[in-house]
Amino acid sequence: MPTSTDYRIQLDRLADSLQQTVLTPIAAVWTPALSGAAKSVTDVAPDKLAARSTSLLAAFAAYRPYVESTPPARNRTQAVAAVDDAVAALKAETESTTRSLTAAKEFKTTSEKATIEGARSKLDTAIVALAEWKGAFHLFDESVTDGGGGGGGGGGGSVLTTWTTLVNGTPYDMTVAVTVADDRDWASSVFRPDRMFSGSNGAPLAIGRFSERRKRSDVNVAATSARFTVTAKILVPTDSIDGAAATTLEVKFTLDQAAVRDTSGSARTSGAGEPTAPFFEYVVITGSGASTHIARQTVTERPDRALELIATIANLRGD
Amino acid sequence: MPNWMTNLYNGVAAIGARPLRTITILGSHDAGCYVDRGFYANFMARTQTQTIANQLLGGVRYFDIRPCRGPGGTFWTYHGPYWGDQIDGPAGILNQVLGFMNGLGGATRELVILNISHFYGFTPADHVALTGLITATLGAHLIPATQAAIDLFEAPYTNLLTGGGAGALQSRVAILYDGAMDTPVDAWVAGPGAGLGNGFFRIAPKYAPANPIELFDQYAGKRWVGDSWIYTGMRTDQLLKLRNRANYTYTPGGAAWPANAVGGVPSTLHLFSWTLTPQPLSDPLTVAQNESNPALLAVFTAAAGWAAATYDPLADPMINILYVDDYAAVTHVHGGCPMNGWAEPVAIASFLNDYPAGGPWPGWGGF
Repeated sequence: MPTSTDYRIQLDRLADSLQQTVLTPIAAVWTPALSGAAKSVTDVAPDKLAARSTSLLAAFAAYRPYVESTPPARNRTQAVAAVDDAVAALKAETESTTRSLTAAKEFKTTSEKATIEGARSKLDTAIVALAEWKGAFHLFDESVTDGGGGGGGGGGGSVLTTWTTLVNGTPYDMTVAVTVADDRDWASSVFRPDRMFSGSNGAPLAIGRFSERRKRSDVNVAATSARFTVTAKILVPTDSIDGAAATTLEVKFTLDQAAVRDTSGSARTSGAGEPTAPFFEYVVITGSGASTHIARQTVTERPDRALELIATIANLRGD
Repeated sequence: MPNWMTNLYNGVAAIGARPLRTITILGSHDAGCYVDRGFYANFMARTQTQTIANQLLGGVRYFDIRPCRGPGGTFWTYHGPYWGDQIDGPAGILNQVLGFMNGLGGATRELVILNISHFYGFTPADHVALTGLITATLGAHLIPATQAAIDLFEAPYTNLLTGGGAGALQSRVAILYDGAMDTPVDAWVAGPGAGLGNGFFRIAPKYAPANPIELFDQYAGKRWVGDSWIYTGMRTDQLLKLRNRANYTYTPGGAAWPANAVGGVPSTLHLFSWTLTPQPLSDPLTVAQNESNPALLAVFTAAAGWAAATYDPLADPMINILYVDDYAAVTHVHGGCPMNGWAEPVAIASFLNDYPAGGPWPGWGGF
């Protein structure tokens, strides 16, 4: 099991990565040449971006003690959500700045336009890096071994610790909200999908594009099934070519976490570790996004022999 | 290997005088599908492991690019539900090609072909946007002639690099726009108002452009390289298609292809599809690394029990595009060979071209 020192090292790496790939590049965009080319933007944007960057650093700093304590604190949900909120705010401010820079190119010389475009491109790159950092942050958080086990649960019986992973296989941001069919199916009031796949104050949990969230799910050994329903909202932005307005598509489907126990089940792969031939089982989905999306599940066994159910939301397309 | 075509141009092969139908290049299947989207997203879908930029540096010169629409008016590559790399954007495929072309010196003589096809969910506005983007990004490097002015597959190679004299002699990019026979005719691509400009080419008989060109591209649909007791494998399938092309039709139930010929057929290229796809129980990268690419050299150099299973450059029609998944899965190792250390499919393609102008191909000695 990792020690607090191990976690501290990983947290330091995350902090360095955030600084080097996101915050420093954003700060470095503001050159004298850019001020000359886009004064209306450079008069305002740097301070706003600096404030958002500082907020993100503060949120991450506030999260660290939860993990660096021995054992790591279980209830990190709000601290994680605070980091997510700060990431979202920085992303929004950076995107707003890129739009302002684009607008500032009007009536400028070729040289000034090139300067502005270079700055805008660097901010685009920082936005991508921010999304990747957020993914890395979440993967780290999910890898943290909490102190203590599940906090009581419905129905009694032994605990079967498993994992649930929801994958956003699209380039669109999405949020997920989860409900469980029966409290008695779960051996923990914390490690169950409706609690784990939840943002701050019970809000839907954001899963960025091409990202995944892996959460612990403690199934009641006595339960014959452990169904939960995922409602995903896929955020489709305005289309700059076709002019289609921004919209939200809904994809809803039900999974059974207890399927991980079925060694002969249709969705079960073979062997521990990375499966060599995963079997995908397509899940029935409903909602406004049902005609353009698929949800498929597979089950695998992690290297530590924990069982995992992986559900991927992806686009319905031929080859 | 970034300049392997230049070496052939300047060497005894003197490919400048040859049309493309007498030249062999390496092609990358689903070229944009190299992004690691995680084990489960990659499975059955990811076909390459290197970016376009690195594929270009590694010697690939034909790219199968299949675009779909993405968030906010962006363009991406795809393979079923899998999302490959973005086509536009600062680090996207077009800018990777641009970076490669900009990095080539003015004395180089490379030709890069992007076959952009299998458009998913495209409207006319999307075609306008994408073709505009291609021109805006690669314009300085596109063949400086329209299809009406030049036969892409039949004109001497030098003429492609100058647009028939319209531009400077330099490395170029050609765009096959909807160069696939296995998808329906696209009304925008077919329409007279398409107005595809310099460097853009359409294929016949799907479309009716001036200076029509044809591309034979029919994958095997086999799970194995070799034959089983009952079924033919990919090797037999592709050799049959190469040698007996008249037995195959342009489209299911459609007209038959004309016969192939040693040295190629005017204005026609033949793509030799060395891809074990689809793989219902395995993965394109896995089979490319373990089965198809390790077996490729033997198609050219070893009689696998019977001569008909071996490609003979002197007796068989031209292979113009050698088409693979994970092109760098196998490295050519031969200390005395100039292509030692190259990706083996690139080495094979280059070696097939390396014979003196007007002379016969000299054989595999030294390879």
